[in-house]
Amino acid sequence: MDIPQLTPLVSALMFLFACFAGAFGSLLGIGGGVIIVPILHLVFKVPMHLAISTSLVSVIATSCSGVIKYLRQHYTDIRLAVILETATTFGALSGGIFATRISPDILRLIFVPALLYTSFSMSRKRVFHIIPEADESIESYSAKLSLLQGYYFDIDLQTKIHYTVSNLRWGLGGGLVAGVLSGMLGIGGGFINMPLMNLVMNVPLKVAIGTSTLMVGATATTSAIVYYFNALIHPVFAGICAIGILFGAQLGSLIGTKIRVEWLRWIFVVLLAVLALQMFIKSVR
Amino acid sequence: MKNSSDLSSLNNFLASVLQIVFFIIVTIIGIGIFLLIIRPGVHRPYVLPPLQAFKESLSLRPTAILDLGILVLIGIPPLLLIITLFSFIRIGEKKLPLISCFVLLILALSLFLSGG
Repeated sequence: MDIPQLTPLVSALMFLFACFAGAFGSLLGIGGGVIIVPILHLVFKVPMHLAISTSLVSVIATSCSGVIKYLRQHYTDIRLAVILETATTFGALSGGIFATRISPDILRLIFVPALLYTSFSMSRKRVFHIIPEADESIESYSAKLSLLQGYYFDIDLQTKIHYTVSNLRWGLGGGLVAGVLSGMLGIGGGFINMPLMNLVMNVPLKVAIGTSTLMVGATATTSAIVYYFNALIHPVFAGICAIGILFGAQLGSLIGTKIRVEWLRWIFVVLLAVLALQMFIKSVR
Repeated sequence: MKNSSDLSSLNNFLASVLQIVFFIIVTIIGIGIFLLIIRPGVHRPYVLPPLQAFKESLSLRPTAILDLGILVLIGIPPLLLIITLFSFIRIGEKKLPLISCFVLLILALSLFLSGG
């Protein structure tokens, strides 16, 4: 494996790029992983497996840091998180094992549709349900199990919101896919979990975000362990990027209220498409 | 919706644990990066086993300190799951402790299947 020399300049640039990924990931709600992996690989020439493991460590760090406020506000449904983690961690284990056994060229090719999907989904405004309407006609599997009825106090609405999770099987299926992608590509999987919980499982938006943030930590950990035991985590890359992304995410949440995100979204739509193209060219060349 | 107050206190407890552990991790990795800046050199491209990382970090080797920070970071989600498991047992949940055990089992499997 050809690992680039880490001069002070390269380290500083890597830290800046990680800050950039963290800040814009936080501003646009896409997480840093989908940006950091192609940047590390294409710009810094970090081998694909090391770029993925570096991203996984950063995902764990951002999940742990981000979930603290959601736990304090009780926007995290721990019971739902644990149930869905059965699927996401299993997927992450399978994805991680598979990724450590295949060539970087194939991983790059698999990354291309993930980048294109993120770019496409950012290009259109998705309408989330702040509070989904309860559908009494759905004979909820989870309600039968009496596991997944919850409530939270919405600070903005100043009211207690009750909800019942439905379509648990869809959630588990989607969680499995999210886990496999997380393990293979080093991305959090929140870009699948969160919309799935909100749009399919009738989980209120704030709870979906809080629960997804908690889940991605356990999911990324499962595959990070696989990479660790295959000697595929570079401590310096991982340390620099984890701190950089964390710092950037804090910065992003600070400036998020002060800048217009709309134009930024379009820059990223193009940037992700260009990165996808470069990854594709590098794979087939 | 039984045990909702217990679950609320579990949320608060997990947040407190995370805040403390996370502060420790950021400090460890921060020290590692600082030492890396003042003592540049050739870096080992893999993370050491926990015990070895701990021993080497006592002699203030930057990469070993980073190893330690990363290993503790990877340990956080399993720690949260273990706390959650015991909280579920304490509040009298029946199915969720089993589900938590299953998730922990998958995490343990990732150790064995990847050669740990």
